Order: sequence, then C-alpha cells, then structure tokens
Amino acid sequence: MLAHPGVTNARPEGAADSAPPQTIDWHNHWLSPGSVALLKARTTGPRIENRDGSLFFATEGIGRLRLAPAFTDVDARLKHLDEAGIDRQVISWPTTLGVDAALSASDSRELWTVYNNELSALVKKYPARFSGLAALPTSDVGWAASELERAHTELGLIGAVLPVGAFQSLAGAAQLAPVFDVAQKYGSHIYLHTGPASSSIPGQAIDTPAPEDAPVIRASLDRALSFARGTVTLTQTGYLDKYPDVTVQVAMLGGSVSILSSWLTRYGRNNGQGGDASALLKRVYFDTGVYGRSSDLVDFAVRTFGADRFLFGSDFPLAPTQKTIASIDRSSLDGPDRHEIYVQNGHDLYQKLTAAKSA
Amino acid sequence: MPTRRQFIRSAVAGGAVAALAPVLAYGQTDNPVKRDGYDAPASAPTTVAADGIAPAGTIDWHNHWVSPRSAALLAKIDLTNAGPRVPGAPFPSLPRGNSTMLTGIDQRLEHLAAVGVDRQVICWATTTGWDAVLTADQAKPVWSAFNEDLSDLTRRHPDKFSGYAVVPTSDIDWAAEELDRAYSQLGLIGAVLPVGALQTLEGAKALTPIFDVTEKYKGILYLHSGPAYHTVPGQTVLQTPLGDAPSQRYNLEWSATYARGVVTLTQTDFLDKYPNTIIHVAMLGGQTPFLFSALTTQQLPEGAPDPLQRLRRVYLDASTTTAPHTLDLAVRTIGADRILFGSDFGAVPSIAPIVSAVRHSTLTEQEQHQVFVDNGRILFAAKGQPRGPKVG
Repeated sequence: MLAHPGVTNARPEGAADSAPPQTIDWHNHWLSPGSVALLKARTTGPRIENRDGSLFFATEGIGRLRLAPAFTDVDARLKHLDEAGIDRQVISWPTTLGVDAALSASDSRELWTVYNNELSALVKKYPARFSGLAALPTSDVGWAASELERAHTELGLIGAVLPVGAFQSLAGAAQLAPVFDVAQKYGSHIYLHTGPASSSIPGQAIDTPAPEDAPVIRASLDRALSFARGTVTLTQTGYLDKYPDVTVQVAMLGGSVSILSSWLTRYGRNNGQGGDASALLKRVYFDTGVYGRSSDLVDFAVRTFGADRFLFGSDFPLAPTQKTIASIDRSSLDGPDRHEIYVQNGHDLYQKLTAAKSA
Repeated sequence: MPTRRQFIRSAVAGGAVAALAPVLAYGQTDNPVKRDGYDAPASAPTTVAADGIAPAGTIDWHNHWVSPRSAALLAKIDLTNAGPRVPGAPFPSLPRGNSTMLTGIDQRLEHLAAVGVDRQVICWATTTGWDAVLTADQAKPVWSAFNEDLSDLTRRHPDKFSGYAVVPTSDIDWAAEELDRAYSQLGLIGAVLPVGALQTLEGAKALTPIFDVTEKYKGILYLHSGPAYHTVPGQTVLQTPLGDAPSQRYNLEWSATYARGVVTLTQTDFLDKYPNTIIHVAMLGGQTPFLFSALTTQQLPEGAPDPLQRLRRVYLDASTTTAPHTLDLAVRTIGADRILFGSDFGAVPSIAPIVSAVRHSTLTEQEQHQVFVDNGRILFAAKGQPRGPKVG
C-alpha cells in the first residue's frame, strides 16, 4: 500500500464495510497474448511488429510506437505494482492506439473476443490484484452490447472502456445507447479513454493542421478538448439520467473540462434546463492519467471539482506509476484530499461495483 | 491589503457575481447562439466591498464601450439578407437597456473611482459578432466612426482612457489603412481582432497587412472573443446543436478558440517578423493555461522549441478570474509577468468581482501587484506608447 506524507490507508473510524482499503490504479493498459498475435498477423492498418526482440505498434499515418515489456509481461507488471505500492489495477485496452476506429466490425469482434477472454483469465488468476474492463467495438454497437453482457455474466469483468471520440456529441452518445442499456442492467463502470471511435459514430472532429502549423501542439489541444466534450455530452444533456447505476470514469482529469467549469462560473451556471451546469459536471469520475504528472493540473482540477471526483490512474506502462504518485505528492493537496484520490474514492467505487456484481 | 479607498460600504461585489449569469449564457433561445441583444446588466455600482477595490495604478485592459455613432449606424443596418457567416457564429447584437457598454462616460468614471482602477484600455466587443457579418462597405463607416469616437474619448480623458481601434476582417487592406490612421492620427495604441481569425497559421497570414502596420508603430494587437469574416480561412465551426448543451459547448469551444489563437501566434514562426508587436489575449487565453501545463506531461519531438518559453511571447488578461484558481494555473504556466488585469466591464456590470478574485488567488502580494499595475506600466512607456515584452 502507498505510504505518503499525510495519507493513510487506515479505515476511517466507524466505517461500515470490512474490506481493507486499497490503492487502486484505475488507468493502465495491457495487451493480451492473443490480441498481440492477431495484430502481428496483420500487414496493413493497425498491427504489431517484432523488431529485434521488441514489440512495436504500427499504423499508417502514426508511425511506430515501441511497446514497453510490461504491456504484455504480467510478472513485470506485478513486480512494478509491488514497487509502486499499488494494490490493484483496473486494466483496460489502450484505445489511444486507434484500433477500434481502424478495424472492420468483423475484425474488431474477433480481436475483442480474444482480448476479453484473456483479460478474464488474467483477473481470475489474480483476483486480488487485477480487475478488468472489456474492450468493445464502436463499429457494431449491437454486438458490443451483447459482449458487455457476456463480460458481466461470464467473464467477471466490471465494465468496459470506450474511445472518448464516440462521445463528442449527444448524437454520438445516442448511438451507444444499447451498450449503456446493458451497463445499467449490470451496474457497469464505463471508462472513456483517449482515441477515435468508428467513423460510423457521428460528431467526431478531424483536424489536420499543416506541418508548419504546430500540429503536435494542436493535437494535444484537441485531445484535451475531446475529453471535455465527452464530459459535456454525458453530464450536461441528461443522457445519463436513464442510467443512474452506471458509473462513468473520464481519463486525463477530464481534459480541459475544468477550464469550462471556470467559464461557467464566470458566464453562467444555468445549463439551459434550470440546472447548475458546474454541479452537473460532477456526475462522473475523473482519473489522473498522464495529466496527473503535472502537479499544477492536479491542483487545478481538484480545486475545480473537489477531491471526491478523482481516481488515481497512472497510464502504466506508458510511464512508471511512481511519476504520477510523485506529481500528486508535489501538489498542494492536503492529506485528506490525497487520501481520497489514492485510496478512498477508488475503494468506495470498487466496493460498489463488486457489490453490484454479487447482486 | 487595506488601502485609502477602502471606506466603501456594502456587499455589492458579491451580488455582482450573480448578475453576470445572463450576460453570456448562450443557447437559451431557438437559435442556440443567437442573441437578440446583450442582456443589460445592472448599472455599474458606485459602492463596492473592500476586497473589490484595486490598488493605485491599476489598469483595466479588458473592457468594452459602444460609442454613440457606432450604435446609431449599426442600428440602421438591415441584416435580413445578410451574406454568409462562419457556421455557428452568433447573430450580431447590440447592448440595450442600461448596459454598462452604453451608459455614459460619467457613470463609467464613477465606477472606476469606486473600484480604484486608474485607467482603462477600451475596445469594441468583438463578441457581438458584427465583424463576422458586415460586408466591407457596411463595416468601414461604422468602424471609422467608432475609432474616431474612441479617439475623442481618450483625448478628453487622457489620464483615464486609452483605446484599441476596431478594424474589419472583411477587407484587410482597408483595415491596415485604418489602423495606420488609428496609430498616426487618432492616438490609439492598438487594435482588437476577433480571435476566430487566428485559428490557423493560414488565417494569421491573411492578416499580414494588419501585423505589418502594428509592427511599424510597435503597437498592440488584442485577441478577443468572436468570429471573423467568413473569408478569413481556418475558422472552426462551433458545434452547438439544439438539445446538446449548446450554452456549455459554446463556452467550451470559445475557450478552445482562444488556445488555438495562442498556438498560432506562439508556436509557429508567424511572429518572428514582428518582434515589436505586442500580443494581448483575453480571457486568460481560454484553454491556454491547461494546454501548456498538459504539454509538460508530454514527450515532444526531439529538438523542438520549449513551448512554454514561446508562450511568453504573449500577454493574457485576467478577465476569467472569478474562479481564482484559474488565475493560479495561468500564473504557474506563463508567469505573473505576462498577466494583465482585465475585467470585461461593459459585458459585466462591475469590475469589483475580478479585483476580488485576484485578491483571493494564491498569488503573492508582489505577483498581484504585477497583474494589477506593473505589467501594464511596462506596456506603457513614455507618453503612453507601448513597448514590447522582453521574452525570456
């Protein structure tokens, strides 16, 4: 367990449940052996290449991304968790790679079936260390809904990860309704993570700046904006009203949605339907993710929404978990706030999700 | 920080925050971004709470005024058959009722005295969307009249007001000529531009004649909310469909629009030709502080220039700081020496809430003084002429 100044994993006095509090990493990724094999077999589009003993993810237009060993090596992952003081990871597919958007529906169904089966096997092998979120295709939403049902009833997974690109507008989210209907039935945890959805999902903005027009920095802006747009879709439109038992986690501190909150404070809280727009933003959880490596952003986001809305997430194995921990420790958050983020919020959410599963 | 002016009574400042709500709460009509006119905020208060009083020497770099002649000319323009405008751009509007944009200069001066602001740099509110819809022939007489009225105002109150000209983005060559007149004859110190014009490098290049003139006079270009004329390339379509949180999305997309403008001007080579041109960006640059903090978590291409260092090429004004931690983030990102005090007065009825928010930030006394006073002073060299920031 984590040991940080001012942070304790001790159960608060009078707490009702008896489960030991845990530090849970809600944002990390794993590639299963079967999914790697399927992507290695591909020669075009999203694929994995083995070069001199190292795995690279490759796709047209992006180039090659070296995959750290812990993307596939479970022993290395467990060793890292022990070193970082993390009790449990909630594992998800890295939608950042854009595989869901690039594959046909039939290829997606094959890939995600294999991945979900192997993720299930992993969490069943290490029930004290891992939980899992199913990968679902946005190219075949009907099948995605049935796969989420299977994830709950057969695979022991607690929800699903979806690319945030699917939620840029209410029209996009509406197409995912079959998935959310199943999610409501099983009290799923739905995780919005970086990446585009299938082109069949409306509302996705595509911007391709000229090479001399700061494309890397504009891509960062668009990424942060995509999370904010997704958060607006889910919290400001009434979309989630039908799904009170679905918990939603938005990666990367919700992107720039905290800036929106300050603008709403300045220029009008009313959401157009008599609600408090800033308060509605708190319907979802935000994880720290990569942006958690900026102490300034952690301070800003937590001061905007309150510590009770944040889950610890490292984006391991893209970077060591300790980087995010160090950043949060450097922030101006006090002990109780840090305790909520490292331990309490994740613990409470996990208890709720596993209670729903038991029921 | 008690001052000689903190004799003023009552809690008007607190009440003023609530009064902001309707001003820019878009999306509550059939057309989500149409506004029939600026809803009129309450008249500017003449009494404010102690923490809403600024220190001596404070300059308000973000506030608006509608001159009598410009209002009269715009009121005569028939937009029934107006030409195309950037999709999602707001329908043009004018303030009405007792808006502080319209009320007399005496009331403005009275409010400045109440909140302790020594000088305002006044500009047209590009948020009103007129530049995006007026043809060049329609725009020229209106903006000429405004610039002349503003010149007259600053000459009548040289110790209280300075001004940014307004120029059309529908005719860039004429805009450059008018800006030359503003600098050389009208005594104005810069120009306000709709940030929509600077979404891409291509858009910025379309404004080259305006930048050339500003460089010649070592002036200031002020990026403020609003779309440009549809002929300026690269303008982002605002996604605000009915039923899909249009008001919230409008705020979100405009906050991103500012960041795109800042990226255009600081992260490309565009400003290399303009070392003496000062760039002032409203609303703390929208998503700029978040974006540039986020970039510190990202591995950038090897050899790429430090984006935070380049960011310091611009000044951001503090007009979104009713959430003080937003100012905190901006200062940590760009530095207190690049933040100007600004209130959005005119669009809001009182400067006091912004003063109060700066005071309630985590900025040190020295940093607050930089924001209120020192940074503005640096921009005003001898005889009120601005001079460029030292980058680094």
